Amino acid sequence: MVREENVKLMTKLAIYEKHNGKTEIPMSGYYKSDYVRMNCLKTVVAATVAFALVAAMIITYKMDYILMNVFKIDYKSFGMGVALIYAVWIFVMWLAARIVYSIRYEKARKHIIEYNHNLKKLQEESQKEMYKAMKGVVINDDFIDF
Amino acid sequence: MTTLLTFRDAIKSFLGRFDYVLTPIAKGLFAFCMFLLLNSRMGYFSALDNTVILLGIAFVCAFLPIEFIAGIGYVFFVLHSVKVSIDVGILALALVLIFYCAYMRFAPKTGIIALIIPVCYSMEIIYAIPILLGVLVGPTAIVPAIFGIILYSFQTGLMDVSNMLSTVTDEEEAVQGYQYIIDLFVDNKIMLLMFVVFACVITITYVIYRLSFAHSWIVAMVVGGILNVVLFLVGSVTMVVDVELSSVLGGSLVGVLLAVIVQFCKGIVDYQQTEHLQFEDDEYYYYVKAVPKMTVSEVNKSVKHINSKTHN
Repeated sequence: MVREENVKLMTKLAIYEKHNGKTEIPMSGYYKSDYVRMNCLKTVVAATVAFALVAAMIITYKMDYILMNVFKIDYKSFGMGVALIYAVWIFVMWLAARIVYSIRYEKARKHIIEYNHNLKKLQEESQKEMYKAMKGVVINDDFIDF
Repeated sequence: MTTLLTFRDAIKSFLGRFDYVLTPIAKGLFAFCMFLLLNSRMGYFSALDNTVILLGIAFVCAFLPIEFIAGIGYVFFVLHSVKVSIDVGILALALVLIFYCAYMRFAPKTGIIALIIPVCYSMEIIYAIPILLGVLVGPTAIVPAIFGIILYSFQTGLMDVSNMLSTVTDEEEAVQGYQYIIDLFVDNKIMLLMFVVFACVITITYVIYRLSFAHSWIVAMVVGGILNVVLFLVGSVTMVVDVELSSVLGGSLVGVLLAVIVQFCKGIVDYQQTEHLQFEDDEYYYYVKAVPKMTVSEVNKSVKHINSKTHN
């Protein structure tokens, strides 16, 4: 028998799964710290790629100058400068990622709690229905001897 | 005003009911117009300039999220650049990758803004954009807007490079495209001025717009418009760059007017859509159509005024 209350609950759950749930339900599989760390790591890799691309662009653009002054360039101070810029860039990106993904996780957590609550309610409703069908006889799996 | 609000509610309810048809149509049309305008500025890759192919791609885009439409737009951008010369194509690809790695990963939906900016440039409403972005998106739009300005400069450079390459056949000249475009970015004071003005106007318009005093939205738009004009004027004097005053004034005015229209329409876009869902339990398959409850203002409300009688 189709029960109206169950259909309402299932509809709510399906709407969530169709929209925000697609990205938020996988998030619930992680602790907040793990989720934020994992995404910070991905961001650091992406930021490194972006930095390398910018560096490659600048080197290609200044290629004539580099080739003409290949023995005059102070590579030590140049390397230190590049390393410093890279460190600042990575720190900024890491901090931004930490803030963004923490906020995202906290926002998702509220929706996930509501989703789990609705799931539990649905489970209880279907159990009640099952008990009714069994005319009050409760069969617990633990007592069945296979 | 009541008539306008009733009209808005009617549109909202109509959109809510037919969302599943109207959203793909709107997305497809948007994608088609964007690719068409992109081709009109860049159309070097002749295969992409074919209307039938564009219609086919727009049809596919109708069923894709906005992030994917932006992605296809960037593919267009790179392919057109590759057609001009390989080094310029590599530069275009590097720019897109840098934007993706550094920013678009965090906010994929904002990727479309960078593609819209060059289109607005060609429609000569670029000075209206910061006010609109301040109202619609907020500070998350600053980086995409800046990247959009870079894309516009790139496209302008690409036109020059294409013209140069069509006249020069020498191998050595062919590798100058990359240098020419980077030269356009370096010491480009007008581009720098636009970065600063866009960042300031977007942030301040957004901050005032979000304040909780009465009519903050209209104050935000007017302040954004005035700030836009003032900053461009001050910038043009201090940085010694040519900025057309009439374009800035006209653009800012258009920006404020568009922002007022957008503010009115915002309620329309916030509609709850009709959901078509499929799920199952142990006994049944369910095909559910969930229609949101709508409240449409009544047109004919009779208001009875009860005035106290004046006794002489």
